[in-house]
Amino acid sequence: MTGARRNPRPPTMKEIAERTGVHTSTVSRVLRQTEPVDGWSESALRIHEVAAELGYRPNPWAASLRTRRTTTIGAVMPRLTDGVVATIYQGVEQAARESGYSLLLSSPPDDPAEQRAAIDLLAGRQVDGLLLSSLHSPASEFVADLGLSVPTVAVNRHADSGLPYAGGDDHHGGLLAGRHLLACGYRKLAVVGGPHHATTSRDRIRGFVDALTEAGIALPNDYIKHGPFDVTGGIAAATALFDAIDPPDAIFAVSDSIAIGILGVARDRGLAIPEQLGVIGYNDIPFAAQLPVPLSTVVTPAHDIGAAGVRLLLEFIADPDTVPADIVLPVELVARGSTRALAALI
Amino acid sequence: MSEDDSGRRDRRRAPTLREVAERAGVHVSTVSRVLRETEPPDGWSPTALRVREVADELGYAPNPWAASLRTRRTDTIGVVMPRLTDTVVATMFEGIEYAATELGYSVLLSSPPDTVAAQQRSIEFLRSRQVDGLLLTSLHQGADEFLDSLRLQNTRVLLMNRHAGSRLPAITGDDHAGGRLAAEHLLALGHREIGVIGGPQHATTATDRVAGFVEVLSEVGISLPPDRIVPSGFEVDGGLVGARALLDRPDPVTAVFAVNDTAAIGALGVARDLGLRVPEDLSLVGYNDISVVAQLPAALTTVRTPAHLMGQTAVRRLIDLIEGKSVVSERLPVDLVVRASTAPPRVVGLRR
Repeated sequence: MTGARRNPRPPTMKEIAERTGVHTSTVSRVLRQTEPVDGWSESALRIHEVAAELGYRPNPWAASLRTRRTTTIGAVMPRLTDGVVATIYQGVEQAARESGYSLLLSSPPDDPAEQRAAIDLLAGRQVDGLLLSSLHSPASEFVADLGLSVPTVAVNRHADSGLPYAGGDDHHGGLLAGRHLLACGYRKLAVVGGPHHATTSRDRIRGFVDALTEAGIALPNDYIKHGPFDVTGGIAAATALFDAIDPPDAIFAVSDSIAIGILGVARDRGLAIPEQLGVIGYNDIPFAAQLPVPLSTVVTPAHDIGAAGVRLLLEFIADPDTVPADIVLPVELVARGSTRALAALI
Repeated sequence: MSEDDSGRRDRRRAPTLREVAERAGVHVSTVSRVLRETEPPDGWSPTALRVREVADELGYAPNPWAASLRTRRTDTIGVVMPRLTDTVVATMFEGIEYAATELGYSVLLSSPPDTVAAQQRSIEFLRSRQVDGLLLTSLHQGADEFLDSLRLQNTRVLLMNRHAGSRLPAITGDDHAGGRLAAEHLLALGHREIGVIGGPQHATTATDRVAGFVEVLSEVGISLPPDRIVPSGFEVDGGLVGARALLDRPDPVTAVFAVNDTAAIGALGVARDLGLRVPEDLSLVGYNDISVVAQLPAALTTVRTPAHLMGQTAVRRLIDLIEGKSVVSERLPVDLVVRASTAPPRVVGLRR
């Protein structure tokens, strides 16, 4: 198609490279970069001057035809109505932009077939790599079936996919929540998880169970509930737990939205928080601290998780033969009014 | 490519930077720089003005190759949607994606910060990806000047959520009517000392809700002093700041209308810290009916907006535009959901 194009037309990177006497890959790299904090190097400056002189303008589509690179990454992220997921997305978008990459997002329903269609759509748009936030565990077969031709990483949920992964330390978060409820003096503990396929939820529950095991306490199966991550999941689980013969005196919810649903049911049952029921959530969404009884929770670095996913993916794109190491970001507990003050040590 | 051979391309294609430079009599790098810049605080220089005039005249579009392909549909729409972390905004996006999928369109989303400059970058990026049309959810008041500066003549544009005072068609909720409903409810309960957490001045969702609210009060002869209408952000922090201004004072109000639920939750935190009980000491009305507010200890009275429907409707109308049909603005109806956060004031008329 180059032969058919007439002058005047914007120059190719090759022409800029010839004029500046550097390799094409150097031109490509320099023109994609944002200005380094210590300023452009002399040769980078020269490349920019020549590019401007020749009227160069970046064109992702044309670039893809020459080098098969689009400097675009794709993200498949269901459940954007969850503020935590939306915050991860904003971290992804910002990190991509700062690295000179464009981002295409698809937010299908949280269902493997829908995600598959979304992945196919983005792969068809010649992205350089893919970020997948909501794979269903176990995802290794699903991922193998996709026959992905571009580097792909998992973000938020690792989903036992075998893909390089960036997320929060969910196991440790669950451990912190369990230890905290025990330290507050609660003894009849329950946990409300998300869907079975979500490894974020599963790892948090495992950490929680480990904390109880440390203390020699077993968690009966009917004190472990599963449902959607939103308020409706909390409402259904809390209703079942409070209707049980021996209801719990404290609940760990694997998301703040679930916790808020639990608080709604506790309100309807007239349960005093934190005296009759302790509740701890997960994520520290902005509402958590403002509730009439502020919610104890585990802070997750949602924005940083998104940025780490992009970092991981760009590493993988730069060197597709080396699988980059997972990035697991630390979490911390914030004790607020929804759990009792720590029991005095005797 | 057939466009190259048909001969149509020469007439239709947008000019290159070089052609703009030749016509304007400046160096091509000057054109490149000027067309990339936003207007400097002290205004355009005479050279920059000439460059922009020539670019307009020649129909310059930021990506010449994309422009040359513009006659070819991509069946993709671009969405610029700040504040995606707000559930109500994300719900609009679900409506957009739902309708687009149903109609065979793909959606490209950009969620920049809620500033004019950041939204401009997103618009330019999405245009460079050759979308057939753009949905803009959050333009700032007085958007026409901004839109004109973008030279979007080849791209179909529909506004939604915020009409932004633009002449372009917009699909919004009936924010003015929602503000009226909130005021009528508080008046009927007997409140007279009322404050408003008013949201950002640049968001017509917020200003329309406030205008509707104030209109009802003025109909019964109540005029809100300026310090009873506090501009704020839409986030929890905005609610904190706004509620402190209204409540942490010798003559606190008995009722607060917050122009969104998120800010209302911030106000709840302030009420808690000041020892004010909801609804005994303070009635609170929010806006949007996001899912968490029904679960609060005093479930929040709020105005329900059809966020999902708004997203769906906007996609259908944008596709109408893409197909060459004419489209007019629509305001979707809203309704009041009365819950436990509002009650008659405790001591009516006693406060001086």
